Amino acid sequence: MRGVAWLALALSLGTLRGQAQTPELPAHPSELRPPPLQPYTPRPPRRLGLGRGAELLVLEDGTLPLVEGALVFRGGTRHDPPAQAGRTELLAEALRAGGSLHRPGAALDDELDALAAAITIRALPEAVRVEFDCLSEDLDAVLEAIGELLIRPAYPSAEIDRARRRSASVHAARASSARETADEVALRLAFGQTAAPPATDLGGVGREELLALHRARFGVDRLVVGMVGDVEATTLAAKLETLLARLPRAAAPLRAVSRNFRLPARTRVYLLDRPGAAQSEVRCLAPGMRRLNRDFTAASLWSFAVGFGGSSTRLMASLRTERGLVYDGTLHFTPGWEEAGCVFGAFSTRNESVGEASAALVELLRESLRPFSDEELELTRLRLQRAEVFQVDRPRRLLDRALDLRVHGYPLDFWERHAERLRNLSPEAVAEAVARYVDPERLTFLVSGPAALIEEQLQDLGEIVRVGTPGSEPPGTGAELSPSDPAPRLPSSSD
Amino acid sequence: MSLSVLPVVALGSVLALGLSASAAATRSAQEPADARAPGDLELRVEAFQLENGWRFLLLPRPGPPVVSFETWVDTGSRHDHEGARGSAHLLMNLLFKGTERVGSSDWLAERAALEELDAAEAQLASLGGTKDLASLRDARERRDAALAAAAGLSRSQEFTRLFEDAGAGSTLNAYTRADGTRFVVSLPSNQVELWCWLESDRFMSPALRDFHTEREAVLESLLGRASRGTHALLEDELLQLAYVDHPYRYRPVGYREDLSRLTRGELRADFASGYGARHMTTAIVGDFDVARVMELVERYFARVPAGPRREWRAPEEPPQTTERRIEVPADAPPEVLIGWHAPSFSHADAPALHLGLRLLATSRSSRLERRLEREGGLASAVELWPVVGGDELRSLVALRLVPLPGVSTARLEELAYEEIERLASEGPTPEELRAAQRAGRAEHLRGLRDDASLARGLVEHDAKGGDWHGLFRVVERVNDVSAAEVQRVIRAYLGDSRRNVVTLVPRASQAGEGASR
Repeated sequence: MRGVAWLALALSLGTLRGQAQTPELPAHPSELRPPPLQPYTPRPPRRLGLGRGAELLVLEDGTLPLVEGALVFRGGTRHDPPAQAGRTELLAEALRAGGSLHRPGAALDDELDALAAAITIRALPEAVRVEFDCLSEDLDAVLEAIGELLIRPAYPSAEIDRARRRSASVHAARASSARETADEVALRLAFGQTAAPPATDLGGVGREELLALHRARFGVDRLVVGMVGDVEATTLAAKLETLLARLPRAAAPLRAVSRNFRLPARTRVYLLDRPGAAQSEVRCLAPGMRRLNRDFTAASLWSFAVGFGGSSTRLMASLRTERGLVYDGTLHFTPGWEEAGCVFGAFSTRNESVGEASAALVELLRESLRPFSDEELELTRLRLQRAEVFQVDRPRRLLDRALDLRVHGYPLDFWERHAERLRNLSPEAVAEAVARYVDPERLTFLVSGPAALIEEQLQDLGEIVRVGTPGSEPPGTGAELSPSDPAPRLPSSSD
Repeated sequence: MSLSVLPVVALGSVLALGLSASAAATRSAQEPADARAPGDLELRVEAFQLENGWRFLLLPRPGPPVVSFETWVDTGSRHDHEGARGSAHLLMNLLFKGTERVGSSDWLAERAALEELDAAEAQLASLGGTKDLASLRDARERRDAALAAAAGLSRSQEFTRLFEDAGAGSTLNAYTRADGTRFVVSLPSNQVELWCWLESDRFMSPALRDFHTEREAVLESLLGRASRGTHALLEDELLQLAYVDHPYRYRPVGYREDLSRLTRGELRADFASGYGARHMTTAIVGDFDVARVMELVERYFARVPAGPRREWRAPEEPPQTTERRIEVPADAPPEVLIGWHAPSFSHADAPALHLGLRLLATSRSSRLERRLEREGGLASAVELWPVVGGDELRSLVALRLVPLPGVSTARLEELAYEEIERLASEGPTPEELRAAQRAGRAEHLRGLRDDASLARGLVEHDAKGGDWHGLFRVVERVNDVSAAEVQRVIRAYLGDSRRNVVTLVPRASQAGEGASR
């Protein structure tokens, strides 16, 4: 057998040498004629009902002896009342750390480590995800542990207190990062909140409150389970049904706190003074949309061309390649599943070039509202279509896509419809759609840096409002807009 | 012969059976299951070396039509010259700016402009410190005119655009490390020839255009390190503390004063000495036809010059005999970063130390997390990560401890050293050892899930460990570790005298700034 291999190897090498000497290589990549991509039809996850409103999405994939997945419950941090902002995060942290009545957090950690498995609970704006990853032989044990967490949670006071202290420590560390601070403050101000979060009364949240919140959030009727790996769907569904039989329906309806973008009458620049900062942070925001919006496809294409598609976007061409003012940056729509996101631009630049870079960004936005050339539109469309395979090339990605659609009540053919719309977009349609959100004369900027060095550069950008120092921030920043201010011409939220 | 195969692998059988990725017109994620299974992967690796020295590792994985590429260049920041720290990183960035054939509206004219620019830069440098203001002004005008001429001819985004238009999305990237530089991208599998074209041309005839604007952009990224929290600051300080003479003590992104005086000519020289084919290893993993890719690789990459052998030796690093310690003031809450010199990637002690570190601080029930976070309620973060790592010299592993309010970093250190000493003296329990070994197996399997991490693993084991087979021996090596070995390596490598401690001390102003928000 080895001899056969050697012979075949020798023949192949001979062939390779011969071919190496013959054809000329194309002088430029544009001369290449790639073969068509093999048609690839990703296998969609199987959907199985689990009873009482819960369902299972599962992708059987036995190539590795592993299983990963998530139990996703509708409702997240956006459902926290302002005075209790952070309570869903506290819930997630204290649930994982405290474990269940039968299996306290420390015992759970020991067991999971012994299995080389992990359970993580994450509070997202629109959902809470109980995620896990384990060897397939340990799936039953891991599911059992998750079931106990959901059905008989412990929430010991000591863990609640510890979670609170950890959270405070993490926030303090985050505040030392100029980038994270700028992101957070910009979003708060653009959505009509004050620069600093209001004081919360989370300090008083104890075991009983968290248990009540647990019952309100972790209802079986709000649950979608997703799993991928070395599992058999029908057997798994039966196991889950048994496991979740004792998980009650949610005890209270979900009430989202609505967050509306506040469009200023003219461009407003919030200035956050950071004396001594070596570099300034610039954020630029405009109203956005949720994914279900009919403009989502046009907004995606626009984002890919302007500031989200890698290193050859208009933003990178303007600010990095031509001017050398930034190392990286982004400018794109950030649509939510349930709530309208925004247009979000971000970059860091040296203090002396804040004015130039910000003005270039505004100019770029202005330009981007003119219809793209046919060539740019077609190239951007091709880039999006060709990169699409990376959204479905791994079973986990496929599963997460389907999970998001089910959790947020989107049609299961959402991405197919999006692809169809993408094929039919015209330059004019993209420009019209984006113009409904982006008005270069009414942007919201947050610039943080040494005010003494940068304020003058920002004079021409718009009205400057100091934030972050006591007394400097106008009360009710967002609400100060008069009702007669034209709201963005937001289209209907669904097609 | 222009192609020499190193180990005898499954190439013959693949060709003899005529297996081809194009055999099936339409495939789904269901088939063929065994092609992605772990036991089969090692047998499928095709390893060969071109005559110019460029090594290739091909691993076909029939499935979704995507391919991941990773090229490791054995040239990193440790090779930067004194006074030119950051040049390898800047050079890496310029290698995205196109070649003589891609990225110019008129290469001959652009080359002339770039040469004029180099000459003007040299003239300016020669006038350093002069009081002849007229000459200085003339030289600056000459430099600016050449700069404008070159910029007018540059179409430097064409190179990245070709990748991104082909579907690379955001996978196109590169990373400069102390030991080498990684160039990565994933593409739809019908774009393999495009990758061959661009990757070979990039390393054969880069234009190194847009030097000045790119340097400005990199200087921006240096400024930005301070804006991204304390991680980079502490790591920089730790490297400076832990290494005395070895260039590992310098951060790969470099320093403003060095970058500001770097010239394009110096980068050309660095490229010529460090980017020959003999310094390259590439892994290609995904859905492709092996015979076709071998043919393309031969056609495109055999042209790349081998380049000179590197005459470079790192300065001898004096052995560390006592603890080193430094305090760093910053506008941030307190934390401490502790670094120890550890064995190199392929050292016989590496698996035992890896396992010992896992027992200390890489899971929720690890000893330090349990003592400091879970039971002690003293820390908000306990993290362990490698700072540098290579085969030439010992690596550095770092432990980061962040106290909760009211707890001192000194207290966390004290408890951490107690736990380390306890592990060294008592050793791990049989349960701990089993759990850590099982975790090693699971971690290995998880690393096989996607093509890009598999490509990275192959290249890393081949280039740093000297043998890509090592990727598939990780579990065996970890399973062979005994409790006594863990004790020995913890004592040998995590002792007091090998410690380097960087403590972040909050500035008084931090409270004011935090309060203002």
